[in-house]
Amino acid sequence: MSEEFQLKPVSFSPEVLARIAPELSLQRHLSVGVRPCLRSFQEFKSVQINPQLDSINRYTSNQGISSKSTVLGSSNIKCGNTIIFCTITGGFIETLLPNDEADENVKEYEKIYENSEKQENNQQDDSLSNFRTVYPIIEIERGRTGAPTDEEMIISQTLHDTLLNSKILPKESLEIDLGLKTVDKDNNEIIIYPNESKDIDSSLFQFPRKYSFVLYASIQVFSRSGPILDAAWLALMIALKSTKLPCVYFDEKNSNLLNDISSLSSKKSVKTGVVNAKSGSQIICDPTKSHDLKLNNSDLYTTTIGLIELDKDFSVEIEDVENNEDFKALSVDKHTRNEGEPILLCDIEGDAEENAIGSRVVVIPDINTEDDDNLVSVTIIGGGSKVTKQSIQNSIGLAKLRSKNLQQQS
Amino acid sequence: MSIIIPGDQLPVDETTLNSKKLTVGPSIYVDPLLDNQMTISNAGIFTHKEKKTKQLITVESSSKNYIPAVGDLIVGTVLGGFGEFFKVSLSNYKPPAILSYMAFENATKKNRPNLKTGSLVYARISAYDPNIDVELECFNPTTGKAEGFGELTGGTVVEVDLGFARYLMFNENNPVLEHLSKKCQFEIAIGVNGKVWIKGGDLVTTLACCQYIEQAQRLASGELEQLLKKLWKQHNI
Amino acid sequence: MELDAKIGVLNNAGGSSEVSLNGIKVVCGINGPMEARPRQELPTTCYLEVIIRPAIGNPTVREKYMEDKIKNFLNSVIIGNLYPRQVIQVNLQILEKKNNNSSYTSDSDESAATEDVLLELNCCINSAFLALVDANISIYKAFNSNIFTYTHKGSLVKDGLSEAKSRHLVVYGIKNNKVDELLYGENVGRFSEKKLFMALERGEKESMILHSKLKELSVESVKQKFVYLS
Repeated sequence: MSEEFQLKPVSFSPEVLARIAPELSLQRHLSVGVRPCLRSFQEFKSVQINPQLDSINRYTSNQGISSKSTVLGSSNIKCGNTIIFCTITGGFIETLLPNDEADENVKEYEKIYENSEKQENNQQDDSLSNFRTVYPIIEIERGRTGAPTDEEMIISQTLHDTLLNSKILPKESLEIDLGLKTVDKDNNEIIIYPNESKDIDSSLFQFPRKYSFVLYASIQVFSRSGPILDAAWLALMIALKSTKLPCVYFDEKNSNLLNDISSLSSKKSVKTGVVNAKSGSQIICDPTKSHDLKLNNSDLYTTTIGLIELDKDFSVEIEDVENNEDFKALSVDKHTRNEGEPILLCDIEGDAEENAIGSRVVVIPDINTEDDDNLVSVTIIGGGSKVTKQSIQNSIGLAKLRSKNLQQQS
Repeated sequence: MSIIIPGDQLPVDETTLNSKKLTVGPSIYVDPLLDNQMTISNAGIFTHKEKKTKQLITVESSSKNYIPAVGDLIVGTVLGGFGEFFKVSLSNYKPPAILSYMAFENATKKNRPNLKTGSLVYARISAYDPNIDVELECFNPTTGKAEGFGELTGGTVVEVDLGFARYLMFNENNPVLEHLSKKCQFEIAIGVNGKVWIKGGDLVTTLACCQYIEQAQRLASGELEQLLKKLWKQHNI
Repeated sequence: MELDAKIGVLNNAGGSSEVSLNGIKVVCGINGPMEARPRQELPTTCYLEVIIRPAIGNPTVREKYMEDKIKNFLNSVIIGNLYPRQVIQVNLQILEKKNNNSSYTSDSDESAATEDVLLELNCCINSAFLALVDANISIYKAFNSNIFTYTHKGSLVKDGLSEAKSRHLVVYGIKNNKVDELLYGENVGRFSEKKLFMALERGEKESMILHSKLKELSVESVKQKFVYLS
């Protein structure tokens, strides 16, 4: 063993270095004032909100064709290079009532309607049980098939919980006012809805059970290049804004009301509360009539900010940085940030940023309210660089700016 | 006993630490990324020992999770023979250690040690690196003699906390074994990996000794005699 | 409700603890560092596996979400580079959860599940700390979690309530007997920036108080482990 063992330095291309040594790669970039994705520190990705895919929606503004489609709302956005499609579909369930109220006796039907009216007047509190959410399924397309990955599961649960906690979708928006398909004096089939005109007798619309919609969202992400929570939420919001819920009617022709109830009670459908719209029951969605989904506040946008401290050990020397036009981000950042404070990076993109940034702040501000209480959610993940009070304040400020921009765009 | 947990400040101040040559024991983490700042990383008993020219700070922790170190004496279970070596398990759910066929007294290529799967060995850790397998040997490296290493026949193994195992091993006249020696004759091999091999005169005595050691972990030294009496009565010895 | 905890409740786990807080009871068992499966191996640090099982039923995406929240900051607290290519498994079983209003509708069940996430996380995090110390796994700093709510009238109350305008879960890391950094903060509802910082500040104070209680329990447990020395 007379040869000396020598370590030869190996060099890697930037993409490989970002994968194997993300902290090193990111710190070197930051010390010169650039980001690996070449945006400046507080520059967000450009968002393009594309027009709706009219051809797949069931109810479109063109009063168009596809009444066979089950898609109630959709959106198509491009965030940087990432493209996201979101479609909203729905089902309906029976609203479960207490045993003593769901009585077969006709007089009891009236009690149900009386009671629910009383409830609406008394419940001014905004407890979570008065709000609904959407059940999202995210697919991040990477050329793989199989069960959802951890990331997909976590994002779909985050969207589900955030939507519920933000109280955007009141339960009344999803409640169905059943119409009725019947025959008029001349034996023609007509479909009538409650509140359409004053002539119609409201006693016609007293049905034994109440129903409400359940909404599902399917979100597909193409070309993922970083955390996609912000973009996925935006796609979901825009899809919900465009969602049209069907008008639903009860077809009385097929069978007797009472027979219907007893046959339903023997089926599994009662336990699950899901009503099969095809066989047995006569609850049908109108092929052309629809109404908009009413949202409390559809201008809520989420913003994720990454926090990272500049580490002097990794800094790279480049002459004349201060005067060079290309490195202006560095000087801007120095003026707004104190020594020792972490750098704020908007819209984390790329392997280096995603793996090296340990601390994040996720903010959802409410820009439509005049109230002081204008924050809906703030999540702070520490453990990487230290999260300081100033950085939280700056993140909230950036989130508000971003939300206002997105509001103008959408 | 000064008990310390993670998140606490070091009970010794900086000036004292800088005065003499300092050795830092386990459970105190010296962070290379933060200029060798010392943090208490595990809970245990804090000790600070000083001599004329050097000092030592350490935290004695007890756990069930054994981390090997060169020179440790351990009790291992043979998992099988593979080519030129035995695979020996030191603890559950960890990669096994390697005991070469040549790592015995008077070992030659033709004279292979006869260890079956499931048998127990008392061995010494000859090499340890976190990135590769642990290596064992069954002889004293300075003398080349067996000196008690090798196969342990009969008896049984008790699993104890690491702290207790070290206590039994490094305290010559510890009350636990002193009391036991007055009650009966036994053979014992203490492994710092938390496994204690014990062999009494017959099966019942061995069983009683085994239960005694297991339960002695939870008792103060004053209660040991009572425990012995209770166990001996229970087993009708 | 006051925290009630026991350490070392599971015989076969490396470290364990059982914590009752706010009507929720969680038992935590920690195993490791142990051999990793090939797909789990990380060359320079340990792989952290967090498993949460709910009180009723099988784990769902909701538990996956909670596991992710805990993993995020736990990775920065455990000194990973002491255990390269090994796995540390943190198992959290929720034994009892808050009673829902025994309402007939499924509406309240669903929203209660989301509301309870923060309460359960609060209990899980405190339980995980005690179990980590019991398991003798090296950590950079101590940590604990507290939950606060703002009522509709604007007062800040410790512990979660049903009717709240906003809820705040705050986890602080403690080093050298002082609050060192904010490890995790989850704030939901309707609140202002001022309210947020007041909650964080209150969190710092409560964190020190809770830390002294958890320290007491840990010290007692260590004394028990070394009882044979006396």
